[in-house]
Amino acid sequence: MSLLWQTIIALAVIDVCFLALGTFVAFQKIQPDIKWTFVLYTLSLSIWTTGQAAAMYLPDHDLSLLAVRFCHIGVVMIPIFLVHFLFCLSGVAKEKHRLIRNFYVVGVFFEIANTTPLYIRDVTLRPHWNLGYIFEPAVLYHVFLLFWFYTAIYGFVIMFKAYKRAVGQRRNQLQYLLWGMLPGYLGGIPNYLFGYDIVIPVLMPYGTYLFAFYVAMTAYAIVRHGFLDIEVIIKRTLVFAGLVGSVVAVVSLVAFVSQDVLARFIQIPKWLSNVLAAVIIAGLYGPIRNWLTNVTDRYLFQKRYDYKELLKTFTDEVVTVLDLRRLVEMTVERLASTIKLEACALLLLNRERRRYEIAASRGMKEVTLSINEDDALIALLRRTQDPVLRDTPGKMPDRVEGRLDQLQAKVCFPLVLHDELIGLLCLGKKKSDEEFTKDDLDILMPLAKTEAIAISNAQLVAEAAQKEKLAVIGTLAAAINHEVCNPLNNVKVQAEGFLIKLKKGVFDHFSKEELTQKFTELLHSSMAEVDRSAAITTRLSNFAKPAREPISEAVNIEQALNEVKALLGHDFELNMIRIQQEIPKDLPLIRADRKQIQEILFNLIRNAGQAIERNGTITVRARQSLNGRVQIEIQDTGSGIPEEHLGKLFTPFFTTKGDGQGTGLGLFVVKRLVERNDGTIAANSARGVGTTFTLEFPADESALAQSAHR
Amino acid sequence: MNQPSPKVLIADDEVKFVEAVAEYLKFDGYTVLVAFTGSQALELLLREQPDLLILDLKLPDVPTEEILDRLRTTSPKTHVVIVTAYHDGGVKEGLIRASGIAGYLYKPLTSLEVLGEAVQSALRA
Repeated sequence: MSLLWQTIIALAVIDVCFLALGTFVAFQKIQPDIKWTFVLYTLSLSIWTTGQAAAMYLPDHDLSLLAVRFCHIGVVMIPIFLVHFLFCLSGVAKEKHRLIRNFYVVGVFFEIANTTPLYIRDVTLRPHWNLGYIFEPAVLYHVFLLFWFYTAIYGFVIMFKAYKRAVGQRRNQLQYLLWGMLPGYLGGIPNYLFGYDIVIPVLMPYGTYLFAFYVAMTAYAIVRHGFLDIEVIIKRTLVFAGLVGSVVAVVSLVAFVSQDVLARFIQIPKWLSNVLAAVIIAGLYGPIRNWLTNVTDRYLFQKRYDYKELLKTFTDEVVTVLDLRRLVEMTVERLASTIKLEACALLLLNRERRRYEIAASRGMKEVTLSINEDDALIALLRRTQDPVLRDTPGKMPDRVEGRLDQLQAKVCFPLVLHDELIGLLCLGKKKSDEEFTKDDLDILMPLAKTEAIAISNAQLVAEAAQKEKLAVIGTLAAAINHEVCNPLNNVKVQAEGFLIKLKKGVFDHFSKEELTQKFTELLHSSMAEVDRSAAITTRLSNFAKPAREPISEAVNIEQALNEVKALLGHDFELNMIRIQQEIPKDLPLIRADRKQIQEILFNLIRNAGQAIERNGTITVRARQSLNGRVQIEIQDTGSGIPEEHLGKLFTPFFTTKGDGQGTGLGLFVVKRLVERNDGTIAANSARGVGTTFTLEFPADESALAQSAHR
Repeated sequence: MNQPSPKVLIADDEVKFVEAVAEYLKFDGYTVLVAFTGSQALELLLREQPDLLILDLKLPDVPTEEILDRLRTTSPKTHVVIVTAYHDGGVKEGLIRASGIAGYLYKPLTSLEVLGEAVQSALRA
């Protein structure tokens, strides 16, 4: 297709875009001066494109000249309306009213000039360009062009200044307008220049399409940061523009291939290539439309979809997490990745230290930050229970600003439950450099409220789990006592026996060396017994420690099991419960936290013992499974678990034990520990036969490598 | 006292305890036998028919109940004193005493003399 037609079509496409944009903005509820200057601006753009296209298309000299003059009615006003619009947008229109008036005077002057040959001398055909009638600039056009460049640069300066100064939503709007204008002008420049016979390759005619990009950016600025109800219309306009573009592209491509490339080998009649193009367009129309709709959805309306995703993630996955550490980690991770934040932190109240401490963070320079309870920011959040924005227009105490900066926060949400500020959710700068808008806050605030409830739930469960542990220790006390009392008793009877013999004169005929030796033996024996009882109390206190981060280490299952047997052994012996071990000698070590593995085995074996009650066998089997992990089975010969209870085994507070006997957290705690160590747990049971718990943990890689080497 | 000295069997797997008690009782004129496992204890009960058994509540191989059952048939005249480190708030003690056993002491012992008194009173019964 000829350069002439490509240019005309490009102009027509963006003409439609300008008209659409102007019309829709005209019907919006926006500050009137901003709205009408913008509408006039798009109108002048539309006049320019209409006139330009007509001038090129019309084969008649006089008509074409008329079209050029019409076109320049718009052209003259473009920079003036733009600057005026920018003044309105940045809120300085009143201060600059004199300058604005002067601009309009200049505008009127050029409009009048436009009716004389002093502005545009004539239109002429330039055969070498084949672009139809093209205007010949006269002296005043050169002046106008200078004025145009001046206003264009001036407009950018105004906008850039306003952008630097602006906060919140306005800053985002300006950012997009700025980014949209640059290529827009780049696309527009050639149209001003070809009167001088200057044709910049590529930019002419395709540069014109850059204006469509400008429209898209403007539309985006408006949709994202202002007038939401027109989003559908904007979307359709863009899809329409894209479709027109695609049709043109297909027709051009088919024409080019059939008339230029193939023409060297075979003559294809023009009608055939048109039919071909029509067929291709008919075939591609549906898919292209869908694709365009998707693309606009994804890029133009992406944020809203992401928020939907975020809400869904939150309700489905995050807030149901009962493990506090995982909950806060997930919250921060999901927020940071969905909103694309540079930094994000969640602080929780430490009631003992009366400080808010970072519980989870992403991209923070200081990861161990903590804030005092009487801090200004805390006081503000507690009082208002509203999010605090860093760049709030108007006054904010310096101390609050300083604190927000220290937290790298652009916005800070209070996490409030029952009027208590249990934490803070700090969101840093968005990677896109956009500001947080009212939309953002409207979505994030309920999310923060839900988060507060979830955190509180997790904290309650953690407390209850610790209580459960203490309850277990209580029932263990008797067995532990035995392990401590035996050595103590030995120390006592030996010492007493020694004293009795001393009193009764048994040692009277002993030499000093003999007596010293007897005494040394006694002391050594006592020391050994003290060590023995200390060992068991150490085990107990290790067990009583609250949950902590798992340490990744290589763990020997057999050793872990032996520790557990030392704690439970006595109780089991009394009740005739045997522990049978089937652990192969070459079983790989597992990668997990040794103490937590012991706690897991302890709980499961203790449960198994309780299921047996009296006289039975607990079998602990371990093997390497096919997927390279290590499988551990704990099987008891107890009463079994009814099938209807099997599914609820790991749910918190589920218990079949009588009142006061179990908190229903034992297996829940076990499952949590297993998951923290990258393991899995499952239960199988048959009534009257017994229950089997199957655990799986990752094998220690280094150990695996070694065994492979062997 | 022209009676032969009473024969006491101590059955406990805590070797140091057994040694200390044996020494003490020998000093008081008892004939002392020792067993460190349940099966040893059963064998000595059958063969030696001791006057008294000092029994640990938990022996590694044979449950206490079985020893006490067998005692009733193989050596019915033997008195029993239980010594245990198992503190359960007196539940087990109640059960054992109900079965007619008078002596029940907890480790650590108040003193060897208290054990001596328990042995004497059991033998008098």
